[in-house]
Amino acid sequence: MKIQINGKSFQIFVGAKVIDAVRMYFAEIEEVFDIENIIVKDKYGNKLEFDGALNNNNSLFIKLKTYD
Amino acid sequence: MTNKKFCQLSFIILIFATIFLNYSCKPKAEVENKKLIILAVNDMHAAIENFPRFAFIVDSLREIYPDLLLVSAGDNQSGNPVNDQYPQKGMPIIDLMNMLKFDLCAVGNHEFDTKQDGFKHIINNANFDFICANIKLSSSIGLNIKPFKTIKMPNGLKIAFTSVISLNENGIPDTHPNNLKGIKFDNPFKVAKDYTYLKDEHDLLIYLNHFGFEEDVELAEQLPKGKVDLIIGGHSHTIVDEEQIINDILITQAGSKLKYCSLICLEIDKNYEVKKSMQLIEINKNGDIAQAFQEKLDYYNDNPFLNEKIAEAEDDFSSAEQIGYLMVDALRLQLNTDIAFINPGGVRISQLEKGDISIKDVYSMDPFGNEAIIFNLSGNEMKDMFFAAFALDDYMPIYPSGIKVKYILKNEKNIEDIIFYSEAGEVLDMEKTYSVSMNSYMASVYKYEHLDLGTGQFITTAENMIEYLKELETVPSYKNEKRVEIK
Repeated sequence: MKIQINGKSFQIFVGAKVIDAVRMYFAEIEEVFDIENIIVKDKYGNKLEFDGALNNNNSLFIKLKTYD
Repeated sequence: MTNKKFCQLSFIILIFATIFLNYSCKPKAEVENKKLIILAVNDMHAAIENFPRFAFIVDSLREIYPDLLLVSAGDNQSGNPVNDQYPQKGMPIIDLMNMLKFDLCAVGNHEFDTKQDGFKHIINNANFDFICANIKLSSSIGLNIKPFKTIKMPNGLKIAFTSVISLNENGIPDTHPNNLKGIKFDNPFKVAKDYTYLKDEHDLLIYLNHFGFEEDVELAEQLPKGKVDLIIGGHSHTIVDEEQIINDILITQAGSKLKYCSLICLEIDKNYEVKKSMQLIEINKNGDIAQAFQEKLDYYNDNPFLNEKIAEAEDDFSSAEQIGYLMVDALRLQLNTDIAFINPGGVRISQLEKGDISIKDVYSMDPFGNEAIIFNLSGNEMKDMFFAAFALDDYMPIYPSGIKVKYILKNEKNIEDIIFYSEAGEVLDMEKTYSVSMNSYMASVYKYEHLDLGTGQFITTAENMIEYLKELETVPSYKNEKRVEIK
């Protein structure tokens, strides 16, 4: 399925969760991440939990906690 | 006054003050107004450990609002082995929901994880109804799921609840397809619109959805104005901590695993105008608990079934490699794929004594909660994956099942070539496509080109292994197993 992370399109497996999208994003940008230091929000500004289910065309915004 | 009473009273005052002194519920001029108070949770995922605290909060709120409706927006199941591996799968949380007198529950995708017989048992033993409007059930399936439910409140309000469940790209909810045999689903947007007629027969129409927050917003935008008052959502584990009103519809969701709940007030005046407000209440912190629920929780946590034997190992396992081969065989054989892989970091322990293997042992080997994913990959795509994985896996090899692998290294950190062999020792056809199972960590972090994006099996690799071991009963020796050669 197709999702957006920080405005960029990604293809991910059906059934992926927020944590899978986060892992894919950091693998793509070739950076390591500490799950304790990031937050994920939807396009309405609501915080998402890492085990939340993703649907096709969902948009995520990953931010470092210090920037929030 | 005892300390407990004092704390309970303080909590009541806090809730009362923060919600109803501040906002829309006006005391005198609108005495004819009627209120509906709902406490909503979603995606509890068997977080029974939070029930004693949650029950205290519910009891406290019922002191203020005796007619409080308590609802769940689905996915009560899956997330805690004490519940999920219980002999009557999934019943501990249903027992606690019964104790707390839940009024209604939406069907979430994980309700089907208990398989149809398990879900039927749950429905038959729940003291509350399950609703879902976009599920198509034949009577032979025997699942008593209603498309909507009418609740008449003591103050005369007549409330309709209906629900839709999210469907993935394959047109089914996110659970293993085997759990859905004989069940069909309709488009949730279409069905949700079809049920807006309920507002004509009720004072309030509420959608108790398991659809995802973005989808609930999209739905709210498409619904005719004035028909639906509230969408209580689930599925995306969204923490909605401020009122979100779209097209005059209040949309709520309270994270997951009973860390939060949403306290919702709908107040309807004599002109049928509905004022809507909500507050997110945090559950997962220290505070008073309901003792009866703690005792019930202790009972379930003390149950010995997690330590009971599910299989017997004929020999000792003395390395992570040997345990990795057992784990990856469980993936391949249980999911019926040609090949399976597991990353070296996916094996937590390096020793397992011969003799009894328990459910607890499986969670020691695989505590990560990763799910099983199936891809259709060509030999060349698998090879690209191995190249991509090597550095990410600290230059350690992937454990295979169904094939053998030779790593030819330039040096200890760079691969020159990878050669796959069949179990019989023949070089694998690299153009051919194979069904390949792996965990969701590998599916998301290895960066390589592959046409098939993969399909989640909606079962954790640990749960998959438990099922495999129960069927296998006797685990053979892996002492002489050698599937990876590094040259």
